Amino acid sequence: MTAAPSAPAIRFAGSGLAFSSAAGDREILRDVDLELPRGKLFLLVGESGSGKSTILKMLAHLWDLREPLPRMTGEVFVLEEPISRNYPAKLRGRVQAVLQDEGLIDELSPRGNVELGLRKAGRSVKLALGLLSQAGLEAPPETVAQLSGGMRKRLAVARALAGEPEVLIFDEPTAGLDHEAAREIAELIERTQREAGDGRTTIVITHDLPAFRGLADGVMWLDRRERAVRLLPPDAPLPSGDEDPEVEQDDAESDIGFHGLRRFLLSFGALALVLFDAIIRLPPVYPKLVMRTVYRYIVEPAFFVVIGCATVGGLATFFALRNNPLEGAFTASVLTGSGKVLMAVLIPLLAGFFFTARIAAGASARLGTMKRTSQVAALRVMGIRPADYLLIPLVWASSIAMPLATLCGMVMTCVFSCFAAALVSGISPFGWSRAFFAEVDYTDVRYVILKTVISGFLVAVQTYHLAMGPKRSGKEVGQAVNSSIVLGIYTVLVVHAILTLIQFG
Amino acid sequence: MEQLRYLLGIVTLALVAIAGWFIFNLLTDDDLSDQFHLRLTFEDVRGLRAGADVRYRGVRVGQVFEVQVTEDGSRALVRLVLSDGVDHLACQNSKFWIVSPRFDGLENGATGLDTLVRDSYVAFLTPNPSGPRLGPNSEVSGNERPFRNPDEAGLDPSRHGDLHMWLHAAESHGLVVGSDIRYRGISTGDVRRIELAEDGTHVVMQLRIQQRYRHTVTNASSFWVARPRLSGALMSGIAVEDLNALLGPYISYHSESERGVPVHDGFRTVANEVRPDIDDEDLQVPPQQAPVFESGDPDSGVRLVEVNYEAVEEDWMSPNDVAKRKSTGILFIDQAGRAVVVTARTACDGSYFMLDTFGDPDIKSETVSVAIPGGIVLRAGRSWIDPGGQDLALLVVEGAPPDLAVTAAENLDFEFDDADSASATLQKFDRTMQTNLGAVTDLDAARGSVAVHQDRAGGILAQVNGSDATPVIVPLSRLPAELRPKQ
Repeated sequence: MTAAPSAPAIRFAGSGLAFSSAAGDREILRDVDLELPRGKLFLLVGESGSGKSTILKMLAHLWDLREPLPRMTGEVFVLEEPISRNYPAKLRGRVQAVLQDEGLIDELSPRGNVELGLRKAGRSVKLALGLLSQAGLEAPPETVAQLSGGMRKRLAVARALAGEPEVLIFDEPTAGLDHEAAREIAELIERTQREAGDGRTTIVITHDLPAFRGLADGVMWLDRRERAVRLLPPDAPLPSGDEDPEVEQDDAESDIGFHGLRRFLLSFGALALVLFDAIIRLPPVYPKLVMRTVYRYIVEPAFFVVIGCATVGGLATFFALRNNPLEGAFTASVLTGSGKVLMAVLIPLLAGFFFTARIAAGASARLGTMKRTSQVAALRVMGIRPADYLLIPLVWASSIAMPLATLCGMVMTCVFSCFAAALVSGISPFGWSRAFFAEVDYTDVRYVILKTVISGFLVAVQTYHLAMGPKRSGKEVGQAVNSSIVLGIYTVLVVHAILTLIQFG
Repeated sequence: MEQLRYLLGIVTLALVAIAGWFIFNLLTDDDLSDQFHLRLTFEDVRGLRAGADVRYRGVRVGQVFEVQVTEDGSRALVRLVLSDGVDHLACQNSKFWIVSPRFDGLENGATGLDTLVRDSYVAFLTPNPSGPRLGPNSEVSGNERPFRNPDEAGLDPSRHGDLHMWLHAAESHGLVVGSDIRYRGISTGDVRRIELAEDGTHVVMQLRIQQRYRHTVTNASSFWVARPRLSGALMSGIAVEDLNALLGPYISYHSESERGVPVHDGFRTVANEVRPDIDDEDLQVPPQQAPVFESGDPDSGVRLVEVNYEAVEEDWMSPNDVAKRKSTGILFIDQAGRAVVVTARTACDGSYFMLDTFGDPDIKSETVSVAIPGGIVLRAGRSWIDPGGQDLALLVVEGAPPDLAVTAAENLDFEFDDADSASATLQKFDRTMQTNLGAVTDLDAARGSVAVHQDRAGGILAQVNGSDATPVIVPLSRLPAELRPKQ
């Protein structure tokens, strides 16, 4: 829905914005009244730590739900929709942002990134090449990793344009570029704004005013001392900076006391939301993505799980038979006992461990990196729910692949157990099978499937939750990977223990 | 690198699929299509497990496929599979049992002790001769107790003519398979099998009496288990009986002279609880059984032997008939190198001459022996009878010594005819009668006498046939060529 042409794109009406933290309250905006007309290109400038990125998060609703949300007073209207209390779903896609580190989905090709935006906007993917060309990427490389800094910015612009946003916000689009490249990006932004006309309003957060000289329609000056936003003519001199010692603090430093408890409770609340999403949104929105993920999660850990289980099964049988009171004695009894405990309890548990170690680590590292590099935020600004794009494929894949990997592990356990039994006692495969499976029945198989499906589901939810937590450094990504493995294994252990007790208790 | 990882995963999954197919086949291979399965039923499988061994003479020849209870719950059902190439060992007379630790008392001791430190298993044994082979998936009732093959219990093999009979006793008194059987202190046989009667009220033992002693058992014989036993009272003194049974109990029996008749195979009797009082005062020296006589006319070259025959013919309506005959025969070596004796059929075949009111005689037991001049007595068996129904037969002598003096081929006349009969003289084994056919008045005394013509034996004094006792001389020419001596 497009607002009336006369209505401002963004309107602050007595707006205030402040954070509460253990170090005290920090105010960003205070009683701001401001209107930004449509069809213009504005620069948002201010000193470092003045709250420019915070305003971007507010306008594009990029708050991290694991962090305490800011206090908002007054009202802010975006495309005539109030956003202070609830961010309207109808604004998703209409308000887009190009983040400072672009948030390019590095699993996709450059063209795939643009196609993702087109697909979400309901437009034909055939437009991708045109958008890339429009952004100055006539021949993009195969992977995102091959892009230079300037090319990444151009690709981010092309992807943002794919959604035809009515409000487009750039966060330091020229950061890290030389003057010539920065000017090219600035001209690209201005050109796209000019081509869109009144249909789009562009806000560029930047420190690089020379790059945009003569291109902007106005400058929004974020007054750090007054906590106000002033709209200045494009060529007006900027007020001199104040000496307010207050600087934007790392949120992690305030993770103490009451605020630490809030973060802890928010984390649990987020876990509940993830669990809720994993159930409610289970019907896949991206079925091909789900299928690809399922295939990958079956194939990737297969060797690791199978070799692990086969080794355990073979060695267990070997030493069970070998360490009898008399060598070679009680072959049938030992095989029967081994078969039951291996098939019903031990191998499913170990397979769960192996699978979790292999998959949870990879998934957590991947998702954590996506969170750290703003890919998750990029999905959100494109109007794509991370739960649909990241969680549900993971849930499906883990819930399907873990039982399959476990069954594969059980099969190879049988083979190696058979070899070991033949080696120690000379029993034939037929005799081994009779003894090994004498006490194994379909109930065991049903419980194994139940255990692994539940374990796979919970490991997926937990991995996603840990990976989607705040990632302000690579260290936190590493911690998430570590926690995913350890807690995943604990989860598998608990699920298997409970169901095993139910089965045999 | 990523592609390699995927390739590794796909190869792994392919291997898992193959392995899964292998395991699936193992688990579902119960359609009996290519495996030889048997179904055994037991009262109690004593913890036998699927996958346990199936052994034949201690060699693993298969595995227990499945152990379950029959549908009606009355028996345990064990399905087993035999390895390829050994299914011929399972025959209809095979004995299957479960080997597990058992203690069968001091007499039989403990068995299956190896299963104290290993799984119980199924063992089976096929006695020799084996019966018809069992078909796939046959159902057999297994033995509840370990089977001990009497033929393999360190016992002498049974021989033709041995008496096999059954003795019922209140208890075994420590007898085992192989325990001795004695008659007047002489070992005459052994115990072949001991088992509990079906109703559990007593013990049934199978006895084997050697052929040469079977005449010592009659239907009037008394049997008892000889074991150390104290009897009497303190005041009258204690008697210790059968002290020589201290090392091991045995079966003893006693038959009074002139009482009872010889028994047939399968005879059943009941053992006395204690040793009966035996009055030996009437013991007398029995007449000599194997006569010692001269080796015959050394000039004639014809070696004559005494043929002794004893048979019991069972009559339903009257006491059994017993036939004892002592006749003459000619000893020589046939084409096959066997020591043989040609004699009258009426001298060695009760079924030929014994009469029965209701059809053919029912011969229950018979013994044939040959007394060689010099005192050797050897067992013999019929090898040939005249297919034309004439009174002529050939016996094969068992265990003939290699230096036995026999009739040379040139002393036998296979061209002997009726004309020669008129002039031939008849010679009995002890050469007490030298007469001719016309002078024969007592055929029973002269039966088998040899018709000698020109120092060559040409015929046997016999009768017309089994029922017509008219004396005739049957020429040796009726013997087929392969039974004649080498020329």
